[in-house]
Amino acid sequence: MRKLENAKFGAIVVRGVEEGGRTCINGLPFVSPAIRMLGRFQKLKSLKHDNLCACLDLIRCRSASNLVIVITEVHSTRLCDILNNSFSPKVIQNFGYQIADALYYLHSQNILHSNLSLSNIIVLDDGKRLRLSNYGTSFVANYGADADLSGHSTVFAFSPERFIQETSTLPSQKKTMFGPWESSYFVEDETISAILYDCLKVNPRRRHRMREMMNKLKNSDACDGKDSFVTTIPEMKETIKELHDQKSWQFTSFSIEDAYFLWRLCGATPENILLRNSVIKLKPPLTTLPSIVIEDFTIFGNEKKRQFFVASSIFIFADCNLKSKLSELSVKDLKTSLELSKLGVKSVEPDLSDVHLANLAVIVKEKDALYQAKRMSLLRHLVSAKGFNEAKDFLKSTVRQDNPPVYRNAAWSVLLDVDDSDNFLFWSLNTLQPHPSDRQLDVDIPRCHQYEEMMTSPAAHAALRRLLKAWLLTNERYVYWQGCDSLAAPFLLLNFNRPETALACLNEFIKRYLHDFFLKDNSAIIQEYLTVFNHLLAYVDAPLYSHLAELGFFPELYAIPWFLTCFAHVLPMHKLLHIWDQVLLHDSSFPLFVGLALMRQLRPKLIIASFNDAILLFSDLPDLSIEKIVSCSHRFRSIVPPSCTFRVHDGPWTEKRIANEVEPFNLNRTLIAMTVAELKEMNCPRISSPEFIWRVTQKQICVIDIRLSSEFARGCVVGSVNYPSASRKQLKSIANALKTATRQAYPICIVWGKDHKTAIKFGAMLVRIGRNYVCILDGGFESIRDERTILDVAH
Amino acid sequence: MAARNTGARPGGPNKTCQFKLVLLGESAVGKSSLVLRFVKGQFHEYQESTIGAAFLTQTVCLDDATVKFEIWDTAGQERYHSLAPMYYRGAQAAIVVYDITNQESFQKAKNWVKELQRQASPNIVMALAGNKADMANKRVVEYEEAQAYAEENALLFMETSAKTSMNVNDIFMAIAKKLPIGPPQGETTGTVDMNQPQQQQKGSCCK
Repeated sequence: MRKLENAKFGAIVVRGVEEGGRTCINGLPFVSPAIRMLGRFQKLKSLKHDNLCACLDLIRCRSASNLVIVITEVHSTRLCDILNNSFSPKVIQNFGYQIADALYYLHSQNILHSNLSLSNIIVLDDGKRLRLSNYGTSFVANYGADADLSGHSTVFAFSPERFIQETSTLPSQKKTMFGPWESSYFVEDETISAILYDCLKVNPRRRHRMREMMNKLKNSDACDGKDSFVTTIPEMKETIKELHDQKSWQFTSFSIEDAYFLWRLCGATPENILLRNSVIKLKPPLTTLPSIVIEDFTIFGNEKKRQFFVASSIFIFADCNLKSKLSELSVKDLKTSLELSKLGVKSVEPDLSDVHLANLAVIVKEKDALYQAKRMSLLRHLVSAKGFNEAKDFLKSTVRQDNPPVYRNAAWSVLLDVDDSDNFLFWSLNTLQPHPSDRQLDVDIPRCHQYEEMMTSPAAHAALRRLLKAWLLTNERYVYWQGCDSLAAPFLLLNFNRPETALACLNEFIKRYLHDFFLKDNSAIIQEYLTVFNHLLAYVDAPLYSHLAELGFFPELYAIPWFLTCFAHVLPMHKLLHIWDQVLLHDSSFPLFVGLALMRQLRPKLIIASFNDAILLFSDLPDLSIEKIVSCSHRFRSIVPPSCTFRVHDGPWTEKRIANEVEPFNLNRTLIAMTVAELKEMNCPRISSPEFIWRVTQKQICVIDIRLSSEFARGCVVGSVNYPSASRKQLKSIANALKTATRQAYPICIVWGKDHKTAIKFGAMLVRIGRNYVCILDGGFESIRDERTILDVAH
Repeated sequence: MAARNTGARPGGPNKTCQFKLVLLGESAVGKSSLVLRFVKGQFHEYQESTIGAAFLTQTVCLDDATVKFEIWDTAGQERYHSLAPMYYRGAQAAIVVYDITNQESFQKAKNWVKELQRQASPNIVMALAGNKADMANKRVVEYEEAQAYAEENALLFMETSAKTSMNVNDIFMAIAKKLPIGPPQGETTGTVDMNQPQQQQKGSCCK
């Protein structure tokens, strides 16, 4: 992790070659250069090298669709600023080595610098270290194919062959490495003129490659390359002391990526700042009108007026807002001791403002820089300590309230128990070979989550295709179902530069929450899921269940996309992430509660809806409050007996998972297997006997025994009420018991003897008259006959 | 076909009927786009894929009656095939869609027609829509070929474009005209209640 130190954030504005809006031959809109650049930029984000300034973000301008703003790390001193100083050969060689090292790394990533000039080499404050800046623009612009690079490339640093290639109309060949030419003219010292000479040979085959150049610079006696940066312990102590004496240490201690995220929360958008400072100059729209507009808004005429003037230099943003905000933070806010937390010693006094914030909506918390700063420090600490079980548990309890966006990918990986060893899988697969699902992927990927800017870029399409194919190759039992694309997209977006992690997360997520959903024949699994869901609906909202049942409006008609994709196909990405934040903390039953919470949100409309109104509501889901859905899902999880969610087709993971839970969540949920047809005859869920026994001892259940009074008299559950005439509609004798149970949201459990049918009928009747919380004891009285502790037996 | 009654229809003017219409066809041929264009007058280049099915309604006015379509827009992927009967069961009309730039989708359309002839209600009104007509430069299914097939099988046939809206309303209108306006005929399901009072849909295309 690179600390921010004294870096600032800078912007480079790049102008795409055209605005888009054209249509391709296949009828789909032409992908605008800005979008293509956005996709390509992700690779730059992943570059990590000591001698490269970090590329942080690429933002598409709202006011001018073909402009993009590249945000990058900048420092105040450039090499050209200190050129008048005299340098010893050793320092020069050292500089040369660092530049060569950076270029070598770039070339190994198939990136050509193209803009190496004295003003693009940064000298850090210690005067020893260099960093290249503005190195990615050409790559992002596909070497001129997507953007106007005049002002973004230094042509005299090009090698001859590249000069010819890029100044002609030929598309640039990324693979050819012209490298050493790029850096050759910097190393202007006699002692290394020989190296230089080798670098400037016209024939590329004779020319030194970067690696060779690095070796030469390193081996020559005066230079020991990077080794000169080794610090001794006293030096380190000094640095630490210095750091903490610094005025804005809170700020500088963040990693550069984290600091950028916080900076974005503390002021105007980069675009507005650039507009205000006339880096981007807009013209009055009236003067930019075209002469002709044809068909799908292809425009002609007045092109010149529509071009933007863009300064090619780096614009440096102010960071005083963020600095002053973060100065409110104390060491306690930013440092957490796992050891102290484990001992129950709160390392941080609960801050009143924190308590207040913790209860606010997640969206509000995500926009609060101070809150995020604290959360990010904590999460960074926990994520880097994920190898320790304690840290893992601590992390789980931490993200329960919210998940800082910057650390969501890391936190999810921890929650899904994905570790580095899972990462080899992806690279062992041939994701480029033809696959039977190719045609389906071809038509599905271009329309998957397309409202999300990133997902519209060709880079994202290619990455999603590889991810899905890798998933298919690792799971031979599974096939591609439409919807898998939506399901995989969140993992791709969170791990754009780590497809191996995305795959491991997707695999684990499906294993846990969507076990067997993507079998070629998944009807048994889906049918069971929907039936269980319907039973749970009856349990928490009998009137709604009855109303929908009367309409013939069953979950098959609306809930398949919900559960098949765990809501990925029905909720927009930003909402989905918040739902999954919660799903990942729970067992495989949680999506059922999310489904119930969705129904609760729609209830006011559904309860009075006709069949058509109801289905229209689901075809065009209104804007739903995720906050409400999350809290509602939790509430349902707390009132629904866990064993009611049992599914025969659930994966083995849930069983392992619940072992660590508290009662009643850790009780055995297994129920007697029933076919879907049998399940569908029921109108309420079943409760397992272990949970039943626990609830009786806890007095958290209302037991209605429908056996004959003679049987009841011989032995019955403690506190149960006998209601032998189950068919009779008059419920006076048990009215009080029902009322109490309803008030406390305790299950109303039907205990039966030999006649399961009557129990089902009685359950259905209770649901029909609008009784919530009705369930049936799985296996009936027989299953608890020997449980003396909860039975009253006649002597 | 039983439904072909172009003569005097029973019932007076302004009679309102509801019909269940289902769209079938290979994925990404433009089923959802056709419905979206017909119902809301919109077109999305990147219409997301349909899982299971989507449902929309639209009302059209004929000379002597108002027809309310209850449209079931189904998922195109072969794997969702097993769900299809749930949607076409009891449907009085079906539009089988193919993509004129994709031969396979035309073959798939023929399979759907066969399946409907076998499984759906016998007097179902079927139409064949060759969608994406705006991309005629990439055409692989010839108009004449599709028309000949449609005639053989007594299907309504039009080439449509959800993008330019060419023939979109027309194909629904043509179906409406062929539907038996009058008391319910054939089997009905719980989803179709002919006697229910109507509220006029906003944006209905009364011509």
